[in-house]
Amino acid sequence: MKHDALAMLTPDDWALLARHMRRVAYPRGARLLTEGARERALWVVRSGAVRVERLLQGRTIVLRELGPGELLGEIGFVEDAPASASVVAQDDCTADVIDGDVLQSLVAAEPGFAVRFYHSLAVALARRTRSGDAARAAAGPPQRAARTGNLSARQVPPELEAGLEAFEREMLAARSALRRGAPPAGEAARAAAACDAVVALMDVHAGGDALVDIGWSDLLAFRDPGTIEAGIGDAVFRETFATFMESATMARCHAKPRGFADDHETVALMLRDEPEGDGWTGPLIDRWFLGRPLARSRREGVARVQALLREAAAAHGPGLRVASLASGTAAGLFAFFEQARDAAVTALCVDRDEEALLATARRAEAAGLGERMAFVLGDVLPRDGEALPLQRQHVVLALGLAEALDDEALVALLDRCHALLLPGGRLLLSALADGNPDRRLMAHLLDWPARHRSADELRALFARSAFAGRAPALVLDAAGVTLYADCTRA
Amino acid sequence: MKAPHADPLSAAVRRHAETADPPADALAAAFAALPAGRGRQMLETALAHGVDAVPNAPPALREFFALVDTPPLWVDWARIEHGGALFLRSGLVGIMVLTLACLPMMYRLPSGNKPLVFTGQMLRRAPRRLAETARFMLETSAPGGLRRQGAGFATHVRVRLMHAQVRRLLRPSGRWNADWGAPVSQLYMAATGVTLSVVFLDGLRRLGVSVEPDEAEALMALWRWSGHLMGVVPELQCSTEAEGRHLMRCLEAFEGPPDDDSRALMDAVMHAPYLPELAPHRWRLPLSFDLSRALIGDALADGLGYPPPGGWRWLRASLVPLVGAIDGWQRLVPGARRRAAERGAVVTAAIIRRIAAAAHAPGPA
Repeated sequence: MKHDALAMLTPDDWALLARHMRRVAYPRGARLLTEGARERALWVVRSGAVRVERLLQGRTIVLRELGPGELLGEIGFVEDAPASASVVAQDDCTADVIDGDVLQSLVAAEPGFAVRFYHSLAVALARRTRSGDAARAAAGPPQRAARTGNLSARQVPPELEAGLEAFEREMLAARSALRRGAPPAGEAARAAAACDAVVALMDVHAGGDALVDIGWSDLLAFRDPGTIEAGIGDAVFRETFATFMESATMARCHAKPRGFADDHETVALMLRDEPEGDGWTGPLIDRWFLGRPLARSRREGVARVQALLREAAAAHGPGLRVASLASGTAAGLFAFFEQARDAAVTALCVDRDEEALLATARRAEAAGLGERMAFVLGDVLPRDGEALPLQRQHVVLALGLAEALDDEALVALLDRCHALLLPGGRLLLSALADGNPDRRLMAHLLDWPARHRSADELRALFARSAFAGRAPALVLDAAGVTLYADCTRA
Repeated sequence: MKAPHADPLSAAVRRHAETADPPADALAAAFAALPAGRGRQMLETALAHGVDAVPNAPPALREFFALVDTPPLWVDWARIEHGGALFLRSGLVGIMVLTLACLPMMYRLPSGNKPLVFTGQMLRRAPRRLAETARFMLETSAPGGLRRQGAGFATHVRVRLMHAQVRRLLRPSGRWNADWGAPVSQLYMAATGVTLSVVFLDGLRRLGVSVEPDEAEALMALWRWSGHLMGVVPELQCSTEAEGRHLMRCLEAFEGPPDDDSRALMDAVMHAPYLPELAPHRWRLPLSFDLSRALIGDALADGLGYPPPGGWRWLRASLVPLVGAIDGWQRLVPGARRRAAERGAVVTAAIIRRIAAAAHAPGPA
């Protein structure tokens, strides 16, 4: 936390503090504070850097780095609780320290100072809370409104109703056949055709002129095209939800146990490509879903990252540094290291999902990559001007992020990536393409709101960012789902 | 749309082609923000019981009904109902004029016909459209129809809001061409009123119906009030036949000749199976085209892609003495016109029901 955390202190207050502080030198690796210790003190880093880290399920996870002028310990002083994290000298550093008892005496003896000290802490906490709420509201993907009231009864096309009834009949027939011992292969084809037909129904009735026709069929329902599309999706969802939720992958996408659809475990299911599900038809539906463009795109992405890293390592030579933002499963990184075990490449995985980060850290250790992969818990986007301090990199991977960000947040991410890159460094960013064949499946069946962008829109966003003047190379993957932007910093 | 002329009149016409209906558009926007059915519920409550009876009425609803609830001082109910009686007593002849003269004149306007052909499905709804137009005229013309609690008043309000919703569907579609002006523009709404009044009068006369001057002016008064309810701005409302003809000339000059969509619409109108019992008869189409040609003239008929005059070209001339005789008898016999209006309403309603039933019947396999 910077001096802004004590923004209400006057110069005289700082002079008062300085009179009671002592300068301490910490060699690299020394602990300023140990997690769990009851130690009240205030530090101001004067030179060098320290890292704040926590032990999570036996693994050390870095939360942030602090440099000169930054403050720590102020919350611990107020709470008088065991330290929630350790602070370790990242390199040889010095810090001015005031012990908690001395600070307490100052607060007691100088009422004006006390008022301004606690006022500063209250403002900092309020700002932190507001920033978190605003960040969640503004940067998140568009949220779905209620699933009713979007269509009148007269507006549901008879062909759609007939198609959904046919889906129900086909799935019922498949279940009956499997229960009687029919070979799964035949029923798998029947189930896949039925599921494909549902997607086709949405494509026919939830876009283009169909929306105008549907709206026109009951003008006094006052349904606009966007509402009608949602209404068609609602109708399909209601009739097919129970069946599609037999699929393990689709159920997890919909349930979002980590708060978002493509968390690391869901992505892992797609990458593993081994169908699972409940009931007689669950595995068949899961097989169908894992064969859809969305899942294929996720798998293809691993190979794409692997190829890029191979190319970058060959071009750069030893010492290549790679950061993976919102690293998730870091599947591309692991695929690269598996093929290039001796590559002198270090990878930094950044994720705000503690569970994902720990899972990836465990996998790295099991693969013997503990020395080459580091893990930082935090949000990649700056909050209130504060960015997670990270070392600059040769390659930055920002995959699976853009679909959750509005335009302003995506430009902020691009700026962040630019700042993270060394001159000549390379960014690989992924975004969902506006022609994604599974767009409606995601939106209506999986309740997976995601922003889709065209190549032109993505180029325009790059032009607004720190990458202006460096047009990204855009490639649409074979599945037609994901647009990859490859851009080099000047 | 035809390129604008340099004169101020054309500039004014163009302005009206690009203007929609702000109060109705605002109300449709307010209703669109509510769950399906809620807006309609509010609308029907306001129509039946007044806007004060609507709980939590949006401001746009109050503002809309403030405009339509109180008629302007020029509204003369006796004249309006006298005009309505003219349509009612025309009966089957009136339906023929509506179909074969008024619809062609409405569809000939290129910018006005675009909403009707926006998707292919709409071309297939010709019978339903005719039934709805005829019903609209019946309710408008019925005694008391356009008074506050009349069925015609309610239909006007509903249709006006349907136009607003059409705009909300077409504008964001990405395919609405700005050159076409606003969907269901002021110009198109005014043209509709002129067509159902001036063109209707011409059609009746060409088929032998004798229209008294006061009847003609009464019909104009009815459609002026109708235009007002539909949101037509005062400067486009016509109070006399002469004003209506002048406006028609301005529109035709501005719009230019009929286009492919005009021809597609008329083709759909002529070929639609309105009355299944007539469908097998091969004379139906040639008779319809020839009679329509006789009513709208060769220039427009050719512009709408009609076949060349055929064996039924003598029909209009043959009908005139017959219709004229019946009309003359009605004029002479006390109470006959009133009874003709009552009977005409019944006959028209029956024809509309028959057409509507045929429109909703399942098509051939």
